[in-house]
Amino acid sequence: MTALISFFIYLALVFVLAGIANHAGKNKSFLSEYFLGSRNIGVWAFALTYAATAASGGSFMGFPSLIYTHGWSLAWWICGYMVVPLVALGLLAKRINQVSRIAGAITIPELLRRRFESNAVGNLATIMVVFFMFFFLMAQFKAGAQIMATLLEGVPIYQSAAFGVERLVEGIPWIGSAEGDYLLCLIVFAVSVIIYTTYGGFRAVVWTDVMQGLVMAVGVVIMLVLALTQVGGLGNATKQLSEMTPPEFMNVVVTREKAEDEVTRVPRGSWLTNEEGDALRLKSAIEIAAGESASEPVEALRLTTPAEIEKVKAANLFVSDIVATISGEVETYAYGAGKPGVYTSTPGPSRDNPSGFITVLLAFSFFAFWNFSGAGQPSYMVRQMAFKDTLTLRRSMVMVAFYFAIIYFPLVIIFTCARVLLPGMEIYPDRVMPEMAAVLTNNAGMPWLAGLLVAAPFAAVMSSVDSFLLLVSSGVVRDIYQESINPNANDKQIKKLTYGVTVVVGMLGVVAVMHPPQFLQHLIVFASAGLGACFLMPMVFALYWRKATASGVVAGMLAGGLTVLALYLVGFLKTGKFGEYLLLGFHPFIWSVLVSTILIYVISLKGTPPAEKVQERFFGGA
Amino acid sequence: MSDEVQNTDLGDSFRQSRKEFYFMVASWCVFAVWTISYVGLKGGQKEGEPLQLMWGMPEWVVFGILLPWLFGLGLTVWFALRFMKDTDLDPGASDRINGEEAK
Repeated sequence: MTALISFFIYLALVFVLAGIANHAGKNKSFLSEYFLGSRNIGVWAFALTYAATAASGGSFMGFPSLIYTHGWSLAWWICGYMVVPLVALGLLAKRINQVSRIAGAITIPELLRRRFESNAVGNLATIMVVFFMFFFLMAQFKAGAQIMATLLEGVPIYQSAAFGVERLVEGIPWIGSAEGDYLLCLIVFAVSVIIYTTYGGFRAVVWTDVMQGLVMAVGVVIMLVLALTQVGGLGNATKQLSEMTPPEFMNVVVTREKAEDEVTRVPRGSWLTNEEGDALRLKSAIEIAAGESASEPVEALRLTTPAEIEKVKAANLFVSDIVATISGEVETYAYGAGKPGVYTSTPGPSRDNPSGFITVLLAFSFFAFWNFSGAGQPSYMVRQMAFKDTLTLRRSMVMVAFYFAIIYFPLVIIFTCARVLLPGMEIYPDRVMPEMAAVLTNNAGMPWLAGLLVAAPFAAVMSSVDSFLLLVSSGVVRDIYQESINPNANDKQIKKLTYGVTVVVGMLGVVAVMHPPQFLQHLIVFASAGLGACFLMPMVFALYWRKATASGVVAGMLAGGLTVLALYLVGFLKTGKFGEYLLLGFHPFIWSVLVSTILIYVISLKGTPPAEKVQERFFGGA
Repeated sequence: MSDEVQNTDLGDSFRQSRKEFYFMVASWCVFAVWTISYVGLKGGQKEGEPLQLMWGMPEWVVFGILLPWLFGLGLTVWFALRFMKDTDLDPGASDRINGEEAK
């Protein structure tokens, strides 16, 4: 409960900041203020809004679960972040800011439209932003709802409310199959973010990002100290990891000693044993009906590391009077099964891939992906249009470099320690972050601190959702309505429409995830790759090559986006799951950048170069 | 810290930005080669080979990831505070009324 109180204090602060931001924006040009903070963002605000937007729900939910599942090999997967502040910020920021000022643009499609004096470029860019950004919104809404549900689990009023919601939506198409707690949290989370984003605009988003960025950093540092203390030092944790072998998965039937008149419920995550003395963990809750003695088969995990099994036995975690029996086949890891040392070496264990989690080519792909896909995200680009001068940019690069260093590498350390503290979390790895927060703070005798630690991933999700929401609504209002439908709209009309569109876009996002999508991390990577593919090379050419033409950029943007879509489609057709196809071992992002680069270069070279006055306007004299 | 606003001419400022762009791409290549090749060669564990620890981490993490990360941090600080030049971001400001209103 104390954790809940500290969490709600944090939420209240977000609203206070939005209120102040709204007040600060009065008497300024509405559109420029609402979507770009009047291009007056200083060092702290620019650095932290950039960093907080980059560290989305994936960094605090998906990434920890990957570290837990694959061990130290994740350090290789994420290490591209060592130069992200240098490359992703330095590559385009100065020129984007300069060109957007010269063009008088306040959105990315508008910048491209004016740079190439082409409506086709602007319209295509708007369509791409809205399309791919919507996938991002969906993923972040789901992540926000999940984190909130974890935090509130066990609060009686919340459980009753969730039960009420579940009954209310029962039988309704699309949303009827969702769990009540998820729906309730989704609505509360979404309404909060939509309200403060709509009310405060870009400045509110930036200010709340600053606070959220600080919360994330403080949360990670505290977790690092607690984790290292509780595992007896990093060396001890790594040694234990080196002896671990991956778990096995199977179905189990749970039986009680004899049939009883009462229903027996066993919660999800419970530890059970069998006649062989195995340590088995349930993926979902089970129920043995009155008069019955056995449950339906349910998915479970079996530990294979003797030290972990001993730990579960020593802590007396097994549910008493109940025995499990393995039913059907046992699934082992495709790479790493029975192989000690797999968590402390590359390529790391993998449940599906016989080559292991990360190969050299995939490591290269991600080293490129984090840097160049990051540089190509419109949500970061729009921030690069907002800093007030180059001194702000330079100082921010330093700040972001330190910020990423204290976030990403420590996260790897924290969640390798989680393997030692929390055995068997592979059964639902997405919950490892909140579980770790709860365990660390309880062990330290400070349960109230869990609220702050769980606020960190929540802050990460919020700071991403608000940015994406604003980006989509700016695309609709500025690039579609004002550009193509009503160029003479006055400030009052624009203001009303902007508020309306922000709310509607947010609501559409909520409706889309009311039937929760699977594969959250895949959705995030797909949307990042798609946006990076569409915008990175067109923007690089727009800013650094005088002779780039509208036709070349349209072709590059389309081909980049379509390459990503095509390789995901092939991935789906080959595996039946939403995921990418690694052509020759490389991520689709690499192929899309290659295709986009070639097309822009060749088509521009063959076409008529832009008029001298356009070149002069954006590049100055030769 | 580099000098105060140096480039007021758009052409000069563009050429400086392009120089910084090349520097960043080259830096990315150096760090990519370092981490990918080092960890690719040293990250795997051969059967029966004992785990080499350094500062509580596998040795390949220290030399293939932590060390380049620290160098990357240093390079970013040097680049941002010494190499990157200040530029007038709005060279034609006096000709426009706050850019965004100009359509």
